[in-house]
Amino acid sequence: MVLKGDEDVEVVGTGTDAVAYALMLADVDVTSAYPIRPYGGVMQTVARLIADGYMKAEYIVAAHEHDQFEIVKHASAVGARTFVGSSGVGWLLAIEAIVATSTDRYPVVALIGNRALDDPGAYGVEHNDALMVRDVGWLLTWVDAAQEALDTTLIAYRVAEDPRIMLPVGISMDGAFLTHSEHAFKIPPKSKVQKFLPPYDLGNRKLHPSNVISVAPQVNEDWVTELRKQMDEAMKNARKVIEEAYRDFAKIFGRDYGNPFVEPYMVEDADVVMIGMGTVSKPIKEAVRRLRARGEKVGFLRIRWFRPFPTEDIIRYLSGVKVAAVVDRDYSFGSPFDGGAVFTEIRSALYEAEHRPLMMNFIGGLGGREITYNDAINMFNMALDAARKGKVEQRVIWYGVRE
Amino acid sequence: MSVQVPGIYTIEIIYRGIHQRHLARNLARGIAYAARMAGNVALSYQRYGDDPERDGSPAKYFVVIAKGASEEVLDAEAARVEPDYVDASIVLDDSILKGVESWAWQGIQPVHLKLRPSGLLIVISKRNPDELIKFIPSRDSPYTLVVAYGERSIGDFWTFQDDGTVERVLGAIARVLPNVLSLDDVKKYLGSLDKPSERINRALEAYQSLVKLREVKPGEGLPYKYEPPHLPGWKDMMIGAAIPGLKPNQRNPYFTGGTAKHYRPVINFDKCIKCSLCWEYCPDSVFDVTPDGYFNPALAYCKGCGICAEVCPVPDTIIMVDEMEFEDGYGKFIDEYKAWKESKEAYRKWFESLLPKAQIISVRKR
Ligand code: SF4
Ligand code: SF4
Repeated sequence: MVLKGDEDVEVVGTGTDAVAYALMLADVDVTSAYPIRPYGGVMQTVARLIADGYMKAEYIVAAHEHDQFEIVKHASAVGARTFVGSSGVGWLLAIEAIVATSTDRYPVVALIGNRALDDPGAYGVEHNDALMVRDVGWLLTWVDAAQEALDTTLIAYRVAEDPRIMLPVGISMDGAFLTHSEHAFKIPPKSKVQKFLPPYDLGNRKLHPSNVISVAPQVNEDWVTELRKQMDEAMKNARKVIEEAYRDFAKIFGRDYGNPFVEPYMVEDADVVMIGMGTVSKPIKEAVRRLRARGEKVGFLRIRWFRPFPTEDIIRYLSGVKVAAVVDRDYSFGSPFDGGAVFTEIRSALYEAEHRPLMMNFIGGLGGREITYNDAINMFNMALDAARKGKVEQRVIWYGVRE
Repeated sequence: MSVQVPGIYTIEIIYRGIHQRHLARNLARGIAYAARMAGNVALSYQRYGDDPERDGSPAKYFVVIAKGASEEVLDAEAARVEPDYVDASIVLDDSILKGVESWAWQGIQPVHLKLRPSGLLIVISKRNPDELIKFIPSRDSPYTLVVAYGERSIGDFWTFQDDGTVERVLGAIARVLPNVLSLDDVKKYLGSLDKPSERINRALEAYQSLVKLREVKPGEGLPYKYEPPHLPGWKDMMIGAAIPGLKPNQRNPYFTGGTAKHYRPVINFDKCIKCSLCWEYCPDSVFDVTPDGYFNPALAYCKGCGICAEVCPVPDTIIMVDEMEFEDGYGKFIDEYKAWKESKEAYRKWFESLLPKAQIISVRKR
């Protein structure tokens, strides 16, 4: 590997490798590691980058995930740029530290290698692990390619550390389908990253002997409402800050992601739009291409940022389509209409739409089961059928479940 | 605001956290039970913010009794941190009269902050009302000070020592608040417990002997004006609840806890060898280092834990003395070091007068 000069270097690697290279470029100071599949790959690559002299960072092996997240929270408080992450139940083992990281307002960046929640054991992708923290003040984003993983990691630091935000970011990456598959991606030169990402600055909140402050005091009912309101403001600011970051990213790196929040794929004239997060985009896009070739007006909308939720974009792209069909790689037991979490959120956002589409929900690919383009075509056919009839016969479909 | 329904009585029980936790709970429940047995609706609740009732710091229970009102009205009263006013305050430890250190941000509150005009302040004490009034701040409206004679009960760390305090207080309530609980109501309740005759006798004793009442006029007591704290808005706060720290020799005015303690350290500077252990070990950083190397306790910040006395290597150099031996408080404390510097002879005499009253902190040292 040659990482000199001012040119992009193309390599072939996994999604987790891509994140590791981003950490090297972002000059992360402290990482804490605890192995769990499918997250573990990133720590292995970071360790190798440190060992080979490409990266200088404290690499702290923790006793378990709770320690892992506590370590970076504290490191972040003393002014270190930090990285951490986990998967499935490991991520949730750290939940106390995860919550404290956002309420104490430390811009930690974490990779969530999405994995089904045990028991029973399963290493495959399911999004419930990340979605469990949707209400605690973490920004959450889903990537669907190695290049996007690398780029989003850089963007995540820029957004998290913005003084208007100061909230942690969780980057979700589908277990196996992205964490473990090898793709070509470009590693940009450090010179570009330095233009994009200013040094981490906690300002007057940096815990240091020369800046005497107390953090995380007990405040109870006297202060907590106000602190939640501060977080709310930061989360709302995030929409603007994310936009700025993507705009600058495109200028400096030459890769333009268009709308940062959602990726619309042939939705402009579509009657039926499927919505999903993560690598399910790949088979669905292929299904769109094949169905378009047959003259069907179908499209796909990939949600890139789940928190803050792209309410405006959802209304813009889905208001007026005949059927909006959400593919949830998660499930929310007992939720309104017994659907997936993304379905519920989109339905809620569309309440404000002028023309509400009919809605369907496919629960699919749980526990890492694959969703092929044939599956996506089947789903589209059901949605197209509903569009023709003007009504949805079965709102939530457990796709491929054995009877 | 509280639901202002006629016939609702609120009683506050102020106690020392952990030392009197079970006592306070049993008393609060007892009052509620007795009131319900008498045909009223009643409930009790803890001021949850006091949890976990740090060792010795003042904590509160409340009892709400509604005569002729519905359970619904009462339930609305329970969904509160604390009531806006109380009809009676029961203070289970007379040294709490020197100030309620409400936890965290609220500063030292007068013990009767919540007492409505002409309310009752019922104190367990072996002193008479005229002595006690020297420790209570003045206020704008009158109230009645009632002494239920007795030892302050402590030592209730994990188990409850049934020393008759519950019965004595119930007897006192029957005497001074008969419209809330009559003697018959109290008897009926105590009769439903184990050892009924023993309990009823204790209550009767308190009922009959309760002559220590004193009307306190506006302005009587220690001069002290409580300033409610300024709580910042969400735009004023530092991000994430960080709070600016203090420079050396600065002290945070909102974190004083001095009046809440049982005992305070008194230093015999004549014997001090300037070893610095008290200064190093004090968990509340109470000691100020003097230019000549002594360690002077800033008593407004002392919690009375006795660690300094424990670690001091010279016997009887730091002694822990009952807080009620000192007629100071509410932010104004004796400056021990200054008093010693001004007159070593007078200070020595004072110290010696306190010595017999000192608590034995460590067997090792005597
Ligand atoms: S008793 Fe002594 S050690 Fe304890 S808080 Fe007071 S000064 Fe400090
Ligand atoms: S511990 Fe005792 S001897 Fe040592 S400095 Fe304090 S008062 Fe003096």
